[in-house]
Amino acid sequence: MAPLLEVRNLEAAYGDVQVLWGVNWRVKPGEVVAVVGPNGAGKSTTLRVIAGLLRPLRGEVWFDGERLEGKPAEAVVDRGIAMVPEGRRLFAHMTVLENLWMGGYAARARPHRHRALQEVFDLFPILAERRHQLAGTLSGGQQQMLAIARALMSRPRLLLLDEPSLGLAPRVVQQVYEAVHRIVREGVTVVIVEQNVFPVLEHASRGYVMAQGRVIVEGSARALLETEEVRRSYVGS
Amino acid sequence: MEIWLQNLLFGALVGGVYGLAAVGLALVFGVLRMLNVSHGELIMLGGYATFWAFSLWGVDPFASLLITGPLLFGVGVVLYQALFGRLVRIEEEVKVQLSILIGFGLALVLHALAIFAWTADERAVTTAYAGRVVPLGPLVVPLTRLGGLGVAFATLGGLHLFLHRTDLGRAIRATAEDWEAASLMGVPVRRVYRTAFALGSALAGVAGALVTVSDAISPAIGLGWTLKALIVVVLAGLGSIFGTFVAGILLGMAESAAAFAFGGVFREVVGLVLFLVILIVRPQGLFGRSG
Repeated sequence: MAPLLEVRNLEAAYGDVQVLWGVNWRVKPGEVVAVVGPNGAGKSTTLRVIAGLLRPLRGEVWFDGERLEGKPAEAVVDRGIAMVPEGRRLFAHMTVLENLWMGGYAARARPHRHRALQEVFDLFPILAERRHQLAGTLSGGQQQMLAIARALMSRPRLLLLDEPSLGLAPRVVQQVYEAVHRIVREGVTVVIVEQNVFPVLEHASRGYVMAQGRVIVEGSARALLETEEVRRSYVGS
Repeated sequence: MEIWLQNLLFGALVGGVYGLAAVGLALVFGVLRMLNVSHGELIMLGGYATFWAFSLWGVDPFASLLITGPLLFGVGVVLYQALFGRLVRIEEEVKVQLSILIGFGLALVLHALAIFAWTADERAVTTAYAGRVVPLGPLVVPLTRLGGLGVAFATLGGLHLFLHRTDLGRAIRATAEDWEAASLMGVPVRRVYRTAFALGSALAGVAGALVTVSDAISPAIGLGWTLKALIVVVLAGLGSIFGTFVAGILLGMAESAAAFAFGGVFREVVGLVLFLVILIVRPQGLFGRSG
């Protein structure tokens, strides 16, 4: 099957410091792909390039037959890629409802905002209850759910999640991943970046292990759980 | 006692326009992280537009804000495109400093151009209702100043509705909180910056009209207005339109009281004293949100 997302030989830098040294990803429609690896491996940076927040030095980003690298973030979301950034980055002084409404700002999403709102409220009923609360006053788990819901408001075909379990209790992490499963069943392709190997590889179909700006191992999630690199990084973390 | 009340009332009425001037400055700072120290010169330009509209075509100064607002909006777009917009991608701390430098330069240029175009003389509009007062118990309320306060309040109410009820308004607030997250939502951040800057300038235009209703203007009034707006922003803190409005009224009352109690020179001193006291005691301002 043709990939929905393909990253080819991506190289990127922050200022003078190069952090990506030829990253290759292929994500097929309907997959849940995990990207794991230690801090500084380049996982988040790759997501930032795909989402249009960072211009790469070299390499290509193909999405559904179109080259996207170097396009600004507001254009990328209009193609159908939504990113939930690390640390959630909610608009803390705006209400839950306003955050969701912002999530549907892109032109592709705007006409469908009322329906999308219904859908994310079905997915996360707690957000419907808290809709008039300021986002900054939600609990950590609720904030993560709001961040995912806000991204879904743009009706993405590809959802990029950066460290969704960071700082959450195991029970809440479980809830977040259950929601991811329901999102996948709706036909959304998902890429999840996590530093911790365990919850994400249990829920993903395939994965990449990255280190020092490159992919060092790739394979099915089950196979990755058996590899030396993953075991070592798990023991190390 | 009554004369005290009369002074405080007068100060409060004047302060409403301070609040309006400050909200324009705070909007630009909150969204772009740039301090436009030529904000007062934009108010001065709004004042001259009002003066000429009145002198040439007999446009009522209150009605002229329908001209000065859009006019200064346009001036804001031009200034953003030509000057301030070049700073948007610079690291935040340096960006503030550069914006201040640009603002100072621009203030000098606008001041000089205004002298060149209209001379350094004071100008004033005299409407048929100038000097009229409305009795309020034992006190009197000057009609033009009451109108100024009312228009300032209504303008800020409109701004509040715009920022909370429209897509563009919410995009401006979202960009102020986290421009990168906003761009992930599809917000064209640079265009939002330009709109916010122009909106801040338009508020200066409206404030300029209100200033001219009651006071004489000259090319030199800019710096004083920038200072007052800055004091009010520090007094109020960022994040609340109506907090800023109230802080403007408080500054107006404090100025009036100080001038009455200690003499006219203290009118300008009291604001600077408040400025320092707030920075020491409550740096987030009276109504500001921390973090």
